[in-house]
Amino acid sequence: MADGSHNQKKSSAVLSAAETEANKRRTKTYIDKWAVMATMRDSADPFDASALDATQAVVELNPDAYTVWNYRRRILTHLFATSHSDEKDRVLLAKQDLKLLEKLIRIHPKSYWLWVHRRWVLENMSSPDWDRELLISQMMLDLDARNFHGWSYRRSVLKSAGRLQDLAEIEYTNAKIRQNFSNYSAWHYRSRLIPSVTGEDFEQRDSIIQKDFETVRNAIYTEPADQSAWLYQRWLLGQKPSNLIVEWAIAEHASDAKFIVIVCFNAPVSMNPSKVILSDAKYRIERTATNSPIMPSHVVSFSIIAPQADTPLKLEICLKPDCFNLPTSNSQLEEISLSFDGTRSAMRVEGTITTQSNAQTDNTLQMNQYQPLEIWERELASIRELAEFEPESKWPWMALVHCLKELGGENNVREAISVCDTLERLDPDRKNYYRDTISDFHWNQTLDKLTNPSTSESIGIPPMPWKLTRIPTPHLLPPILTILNLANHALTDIPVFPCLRELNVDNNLIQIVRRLDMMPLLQRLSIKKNMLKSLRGLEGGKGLKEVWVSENDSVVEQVDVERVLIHY
Amino acid sequence: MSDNRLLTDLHVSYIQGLDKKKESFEYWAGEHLRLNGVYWGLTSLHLLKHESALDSNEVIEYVLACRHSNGAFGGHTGHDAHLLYTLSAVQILCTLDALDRIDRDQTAKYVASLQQPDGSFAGDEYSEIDTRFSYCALSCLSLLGKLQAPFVDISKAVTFIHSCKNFDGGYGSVPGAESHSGQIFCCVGALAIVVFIFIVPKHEKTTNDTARAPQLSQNRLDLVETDRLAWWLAERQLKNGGLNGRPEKLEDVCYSWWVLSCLSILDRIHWINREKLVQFILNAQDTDTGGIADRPGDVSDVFHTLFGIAGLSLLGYPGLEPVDPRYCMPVKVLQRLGIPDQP
Repeated sequence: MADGSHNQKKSSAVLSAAETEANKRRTKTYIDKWAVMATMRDSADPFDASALDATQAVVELNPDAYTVWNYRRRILTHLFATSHSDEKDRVLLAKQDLKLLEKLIRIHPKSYWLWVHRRWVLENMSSPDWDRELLISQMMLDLDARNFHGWSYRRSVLKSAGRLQDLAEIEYTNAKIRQNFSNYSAWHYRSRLIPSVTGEDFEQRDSIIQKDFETVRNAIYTEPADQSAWLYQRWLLGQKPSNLIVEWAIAEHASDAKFIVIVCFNAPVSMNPSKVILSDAKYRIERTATNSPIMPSHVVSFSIIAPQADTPLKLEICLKPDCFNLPTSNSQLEEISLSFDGTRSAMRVEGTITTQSNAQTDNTLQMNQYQPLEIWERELASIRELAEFEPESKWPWMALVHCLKELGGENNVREAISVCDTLERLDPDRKNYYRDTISDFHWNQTLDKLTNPSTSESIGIPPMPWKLTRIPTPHLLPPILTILNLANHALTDIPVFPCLRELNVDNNLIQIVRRLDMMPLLQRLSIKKNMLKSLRGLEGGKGLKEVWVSENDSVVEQVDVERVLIHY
Repeated sequence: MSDNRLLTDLHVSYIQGLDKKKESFEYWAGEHLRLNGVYWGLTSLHLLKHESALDSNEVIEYVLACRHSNGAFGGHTGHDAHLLYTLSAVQILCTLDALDRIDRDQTAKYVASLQQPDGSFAGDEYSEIDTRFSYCALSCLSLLGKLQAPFVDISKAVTFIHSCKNFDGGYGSVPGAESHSGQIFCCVGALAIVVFIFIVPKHEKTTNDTARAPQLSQNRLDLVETDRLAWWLAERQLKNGGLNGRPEKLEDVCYSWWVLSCLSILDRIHWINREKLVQFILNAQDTDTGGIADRPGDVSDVFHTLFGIAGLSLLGYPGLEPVDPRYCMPVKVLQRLGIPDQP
């Protein structure tokens, strides 16, 4: 990324007369050397023995002259095939380049092109000395422990040497971390190394992980303000693995023979409804053209046309793996079937799809160890102690929220909310992050209370001691609810509730109308007393009949949207 | 120290003067990325609403002079072809509405030829693999209107990007590499650009135009762990308002773009302190010569000038042309090309 000048102080940029003169001379030399190189390159005999010298003269002045490195590679390829085809001669030539590169890399450790050429030279040797290359990467990382070229080079060398899963790397990163706890590069590397080195040996993995918990504890007690170890601690604690499942599915009668089917997944999906299979050939999936891309979301909707009007939908819908655009071809896939018996909700939802959406494609890297709850409790206790000891440091509080959220329960959530208040005070630059987090807690608590809704379609969200700034999981609202009042909060966006027919978001902070295409059943929307400047986006709501938009910041320009009655 | 307002006129004259520093060694040593420089300068001028400060015809002729017979572009006349410069060339031609001056199919074929069996892209025939090149390729094909088979295997390209995802939700240059905001921009930007278009199966096609139209299109942001990544990105803001690219590193104006554009794509710009970042960028302006530096007190350059201005545009700084976070180009250029808005 580094293509501009970095870290050059303005005071040092004012050149003395002598320096200006030297710069001029350097410029002239460079132009001359380039001309010599270019003349040779474009001549009838571009691979003359002296051509190597001509390229070297340019790259010594400017290591980023990639065109010259390309030319040098062509010369070398030619020499390897002709005068230097002998193994001994090839090695001699290659070593000459490696030596040149070593010199240049010391001066310009962040030049991409130098590392590219070095790899190319090694790839063209029959038996490269990978140990020596590891030493070079080590030397680079001794000079700058965060140089990502150095780390990338190290991994590429190990890969070429077939030693990516070398236990010695665990020790190497350990040593780097002991030198400086703040080495996020090394902590990161461990997150990739540990699963790949230990493979199926879970005992060995756990012993490394438990030791790492201790190292992290040392690091965060030594320097609680340093984020490196705190971030790594989250990796150690792990993430719950999850397969793709259907949360719920409904079929809503739209008109005549048309039903809108809405399927909600536990993760955002990219899905192709045209590949959905219906058990009864008399039904078909309606194609509707759309010109705007929609966000992949938790919810997918499509229309089904029944063989005749006003008959209930009774069929099985099968979602085969090829309906989904999954990131890998080697995902283990089953299929999901939804069966409708004529009522609104799907009666039966079966099957899961194992995705790797939270994991890596390489099987050995995807292992995502999730620590048992007692480990979370143990870490929580230790973090709480540190937070009380260092009340003005935000990172212990951050980690505390992370653990409390995972452990759940009313008391933990209450404590997490109050810690977020503390965090907002300690770290006002990110106050909106903490406010969103608090909103998430309140919303999830509300959802918990709604898990067994009565048959009533409209349930007001119980009063809350907090103005919601966002709704993290609108798709989890039980689909039986079709009318919702979210007036008087602090929402900046219209939350996408896929099954609602009526939504009231009066007196919020909404500036634009968008993503109504993801609420296909919405008929009535009240969006009074917000900060709307335009009604662009209303046309996205295909089922919309009535909208209220009065008392917005600036008077909203009147628009005509077909079928929609707008109250200004 | 600088005035706390954007010094538009000074930046315009700074960019106009860039081609006149022929005595300095840096001018010549930077020759290999001159085409990038033209993109950075031209885009800055367009965002500053000074579109005519450079002679468009001269710029177009220069870009065409960097073109190779295979449709690819080099960093300067007489320099070899590379994906990095091919993207810049296409971006410039789009901005100047001159895409009809090249054979789009030929350039798209060159870009596609760099895709590897695992879906990744090489920068040129010497096969350096990096998610930077995935971004360059996908952005370029999208601008050319060729983001589709047979030019490219989108599914594999997406799979490769996904394999570069790390535990912190960020992305590195290759699988296993550490998360870095620049690479994260490349990966998130690419996932936001790739749009799946579902075409009606052949046997179902009718004469009806609607039925033949693309059925549904989606980007691939479903693969991004939005809150995890956006929080990590928000933690890039330091006390002085500037953003760094990785934990425990120094702030730098170019991350105003790499970090901010991702936060914008992920709808989480409000998670950082916008006002402090605006002040940090403004303080990095060079009040004598114009241009913006990597941080206050340093020498300015055209690379940081663009990313500072583009950052200010995303932050809603008054008087600037809106910028698209996925392409780092003026929104109106993409609208003219018919590229759908960020949903």
